[in-house]
Amino acid sequence: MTAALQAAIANRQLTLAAGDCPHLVLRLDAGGRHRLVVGDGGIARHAVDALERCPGVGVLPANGGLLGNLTVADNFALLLRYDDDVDRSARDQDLDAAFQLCGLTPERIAVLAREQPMNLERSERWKLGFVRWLLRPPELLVIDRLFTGLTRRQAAELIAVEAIYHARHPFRPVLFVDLDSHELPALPD
Amino acid sequence: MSALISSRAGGYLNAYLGLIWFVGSRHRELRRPLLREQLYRQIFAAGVAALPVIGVLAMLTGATAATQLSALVGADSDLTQRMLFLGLFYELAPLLSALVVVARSSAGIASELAVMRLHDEFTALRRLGVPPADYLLLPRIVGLSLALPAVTACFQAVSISSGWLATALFEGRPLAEAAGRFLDLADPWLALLSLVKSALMGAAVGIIACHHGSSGTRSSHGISGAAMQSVGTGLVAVFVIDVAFALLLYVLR
Repeated sequence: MTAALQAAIANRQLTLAAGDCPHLVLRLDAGGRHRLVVGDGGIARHAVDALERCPGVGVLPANGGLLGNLTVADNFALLLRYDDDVDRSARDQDLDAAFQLCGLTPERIAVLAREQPMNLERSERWKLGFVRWLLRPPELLVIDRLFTGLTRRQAAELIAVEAIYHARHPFRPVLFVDLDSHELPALPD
Repeated sequence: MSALISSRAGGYLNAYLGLIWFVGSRHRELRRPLLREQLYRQIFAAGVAALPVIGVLAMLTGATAATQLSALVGADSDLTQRMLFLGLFYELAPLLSALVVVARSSAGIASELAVMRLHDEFTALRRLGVPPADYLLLPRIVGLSLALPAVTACFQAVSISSGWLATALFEGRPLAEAAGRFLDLADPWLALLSLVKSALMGAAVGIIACHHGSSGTRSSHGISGAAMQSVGTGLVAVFVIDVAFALLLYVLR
């Protein structure tokens, strides 16, 4: 996979290709988990960049992708209030429900709201980033190198959290981009 | 070497012009509540928070200029009042206010943006569905363009008041007399022009800081580089605008 990677969507189907050689073909309305295993971080970055350029593709990086210099509450305010056309009370209820689905208690949420993401554990940051996509699911959610540096227990916990996405949005596919490693945990069917 | 310098200068100029076009085409985005919050935050940081420094500086400059001019030309002279108006009110107040803002805000903006770029937060913002340039650059540039004229107006008010006070105290003249003669000779159009000059200086400082903060190398070295470049180039821009307005005034007269 050395040629420049390019991703394109046509007829509700996403194709990731290097030159004329397609490496991945995904139907966008079929749901399910998919996995792209690459040899090194550079290729993973190129693949994610190429996928992200397609409209409707959302990327969830391993660190959750929140802004480090804002509190968690400010991050969510930014996400939810930028296009301020959503009913606020319904939005707040959705947010609380999404946090609780991800295993965060109301007490913990109250503490987290005042913290900056950079001060949190990686798996907790990831969960917060995940809540964002749970509320606003993209056509294709790309989960970027989630398992690098996680213990088996942490990986299993996050896979369980990720299952919530499929339960809520059964026709939205998720693509895991992972590094080739014998430690890679299996994804449930 | 000269080719390298001219190509780099041309690159900077293109980038600055690009940012001017960006502000012109995207300013309506500031209607969004979150961007307005950012704008108010910038106005507070660059304007209101700078007022203590500006106040002290203006008080000392005004008192010094008024007493020195009175000693040189004489307190009764119209020339003293004209020099106070043209030298202090029209020239020094916008210039010193801009220098304070360059020293405080330009380095702050550039280093803040460079840190955000280093931590890939421009990408994080884009992934949140927020255009990074709208959220980070637009409020900073517009904020400085609005804050600097306000800071300049405060500088002018404090410096001229302290000048009148110093004249009244040291030369035993009634305060109302000093103020009255100054106001008789003051040209309201020039006062307005000094605020326009300040707004342009603020925009230039904001554009330069935003450009260097958001486009430097992604390293810890790049953060200090962005701060130094934005301060250096910002100072040059402020003086160029000041000279341009002085020439404009000269030509008009």
